[in-house]
Amino acid sequence: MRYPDRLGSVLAVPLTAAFLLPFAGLKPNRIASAQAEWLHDMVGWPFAVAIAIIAAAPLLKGKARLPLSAFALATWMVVMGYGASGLLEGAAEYARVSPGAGFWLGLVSLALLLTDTLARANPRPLARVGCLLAAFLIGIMTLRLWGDVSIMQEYVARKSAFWAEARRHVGLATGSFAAAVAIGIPMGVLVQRVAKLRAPVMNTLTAIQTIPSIALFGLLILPLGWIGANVPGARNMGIGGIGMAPAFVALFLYALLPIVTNTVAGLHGIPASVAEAARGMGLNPRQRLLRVDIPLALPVILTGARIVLVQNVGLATVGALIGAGGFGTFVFQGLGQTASDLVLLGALPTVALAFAAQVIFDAIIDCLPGRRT
Amino acid sequence: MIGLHDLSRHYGDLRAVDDVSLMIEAGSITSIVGTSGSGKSTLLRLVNRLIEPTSGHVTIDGKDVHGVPAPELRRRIGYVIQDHGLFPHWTVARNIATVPELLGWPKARIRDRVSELLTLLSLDPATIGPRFPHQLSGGQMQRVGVARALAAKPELLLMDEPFGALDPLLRGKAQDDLLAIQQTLGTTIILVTHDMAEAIRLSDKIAVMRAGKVEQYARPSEILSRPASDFVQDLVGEGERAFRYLSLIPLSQLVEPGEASGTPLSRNATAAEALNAMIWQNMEVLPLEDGGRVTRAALLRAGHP
Amino acid sequence: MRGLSAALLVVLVGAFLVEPTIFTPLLAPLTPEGAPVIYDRADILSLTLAHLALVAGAMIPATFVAVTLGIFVQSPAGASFLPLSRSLTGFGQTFPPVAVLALTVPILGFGTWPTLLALFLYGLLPVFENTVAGLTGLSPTVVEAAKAMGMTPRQRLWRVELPLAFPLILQGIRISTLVSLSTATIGSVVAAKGLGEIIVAGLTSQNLSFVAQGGLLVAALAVLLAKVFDLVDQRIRPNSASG
Repeated sequence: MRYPDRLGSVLAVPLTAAFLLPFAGLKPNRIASAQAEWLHDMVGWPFAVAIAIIAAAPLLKGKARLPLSAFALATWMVVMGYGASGLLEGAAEYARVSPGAGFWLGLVSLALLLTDTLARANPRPLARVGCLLAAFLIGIMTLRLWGDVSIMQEYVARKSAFWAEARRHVGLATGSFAAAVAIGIPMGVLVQRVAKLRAPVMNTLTAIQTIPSIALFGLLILPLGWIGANVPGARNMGIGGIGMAPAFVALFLYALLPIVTNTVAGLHGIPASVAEAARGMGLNPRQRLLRVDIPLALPVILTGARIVLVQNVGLATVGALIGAGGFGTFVFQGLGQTASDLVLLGALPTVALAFAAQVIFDAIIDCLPGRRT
Repeated sequence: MIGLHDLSRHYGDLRAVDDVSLMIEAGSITSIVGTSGSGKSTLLRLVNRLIEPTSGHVTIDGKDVHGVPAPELRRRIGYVIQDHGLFPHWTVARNIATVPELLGWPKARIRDRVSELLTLLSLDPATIGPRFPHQLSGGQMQRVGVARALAAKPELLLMDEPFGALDPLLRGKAQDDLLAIQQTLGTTIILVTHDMAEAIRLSDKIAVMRAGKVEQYARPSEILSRPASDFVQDLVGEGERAFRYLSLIPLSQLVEPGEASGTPLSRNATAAEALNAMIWQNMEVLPLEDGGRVTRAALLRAGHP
Repeated sequence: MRGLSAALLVVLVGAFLVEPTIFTPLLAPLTPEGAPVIYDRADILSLTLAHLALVAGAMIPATFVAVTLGIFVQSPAGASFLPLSRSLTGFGQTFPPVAVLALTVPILGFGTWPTLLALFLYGLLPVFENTVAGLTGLSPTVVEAAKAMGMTPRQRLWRVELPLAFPLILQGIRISTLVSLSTATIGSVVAAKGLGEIIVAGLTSQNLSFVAQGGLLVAALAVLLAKVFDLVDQRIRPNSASG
């Protein structure tokens, strides 16, 4: 029995607006302003009505909401692709089609619906990763049909650069993450044990956090440039002024505080009775650390690690300002050229990457023994 | 007069309260006794509409409680819970003043009332009033909870395991205080407890609940002497039965003229206390304070219904 | 940090804002040959005020909207939106602040407005999350007692629930504000008026002194702002020992 629930009723409003607003914009070239195109003009009335029905179906609550909303979302994306192809037939050579307000509104509404349905289903960690993978694959498949949409055309125009920047972005984010974990966890263990170290270390790390990212990047350029110039072999390793090195070091420094804080908190949260029992059983300090303390503190430590990874994916975008590359390159290029499609080409993969990192890491944390009830 | 009429509260298949009808007299203390899950707390919350019934209704002095908006109803009913639920961000004085403030009493009247209640519960208004709940001991918090419930002079007081968190010494004192307050104010009290001894000590009538139904609703002496079912009997227990029964009888009912030697007992003392004194002092007879005496034989005779 | 160091910082910041040239000897070593030591393309004090105005202009409406949404999601009317709001805040946490900025520019053009919108959107999250956490984390006994005393739902909200949830809400506002202070610097890349201007100018002209001035000034403001929040937090704490 399907019925309109609160969420469905609320989302009906933006979804209706999505049909009333321009679905796409046709531009004579990539930076000119767009002329509005409506859905029924793009694909004809019969198809427009069919799509309206498909989009409205999941608004009614019932058992089939999950597949219906997923199907609606996929259809929405595919329609954009086909509609764009239709618009470009017979248009000028440099004409571009970009998604319009109507498309985005509909996309967000359907995505919210799908998200709510998934959230209520409360899937287990592996199922969550599975959903992520499915969304990724479906996304890839629909993007193949987006050949005539401006964002994909920007992508095609600079395909190799895109993947090169992607590699740089992932490398920067995960590399600094790994370094922060490798150094931050032992630092956290040390700080937790030696009370005198706690205040100076935490104060320093907190002070670093207060420096805005672009400033820290900039401040590291000089010392790293000096090292690159004067220390033999440094330049070969990639250490230098402008480029990835200052961004890497800055990201590493920013990542230390959450790792250290969470390591300390995790170790602190171990009940005294457990620590005593471990000592009483004859484990030496190193064994205690590796077999008891760290495993017990692991959920909290990994939560800190997750925060850091997601943070780093975002901050790596800013690194483009000092030549570190990454998706930020497209963002800032696009901003400079007022080409919003280029901005999206940089911003959307960053968001997708950060989101994927969060879901995967959360799943790992939930898979730790004793986590999921 | 509180009336519970065919009251039921279901949660799906679970019948937390199953067709309960009770008439509670004004000015009396009624205990609802049962094991956990018997529905006693649910029943209590049906009276002040913290929970709404699935069927049936509650009347106070003949008027259906549903006819009044819930907040208005609750301002006329005092409510005390085991964890007392004092507002941590307000001083003791402000906590007690909660309902009077809601009712719009003038400030001076509220101030006086707060002092009056604190003194009534043996708490010094000057030192305790400005304190915050986290600065009080468990026993003090419990008393402030009672003061807060009585602030607006309610005619009905609902209490859910009010003494459960107190140690035995404090519990006895708190029970004494409750009896004294009830004598002074004449409030109708409905008290939920799992402690049968407490119920017998305090109540005019006891309602024994099991699985949502009331198995027996009677005076304590009757619960002891004529339990309506095996369950009620088990709840009372056989171990202390006679002594509990004796604890319901004041010595004024057993006094006979005559003299005796030894420490005099008060007329208001219970037969149980007298028997305890006689066994301990190895006496057959003891005098009473205002004259007369009580014999061990009379006590033993009175110990069975 | 102790009161003395905070006072010292206030003095230093004040001195820099009023008469930045005092610091020339300190910053000179960082300056390339022939370049100005102190930022001279605009008045530093007015940039600072513009920066703070940007943060306040985003945080005040964000707090208002986020707390209202948090209360709504807790009420019977809004309870069906609670799972969705949880997923959204989870998703929102992954959204890099730079991306928010990048996505608002195509809509609002360059200047202060996209930065304001981006800071507003990004600032909603911690406050909303903490409002929900604060309201759900209340002791059920206390909430029941409030109900049983005869408070209407609105009286309960204003007299008991919000005051008790306030420390946590304040934490959220604090996090949001400090992050905004930092993120606002990136707004200068899209021509928002603020202290980021100095940093960006330093990056483009390779003048480390500019970068240091802008960066350290923002850092100092963050430290002082954190201290203000700490003071407020201390004032409200002793009265609500536990929820």
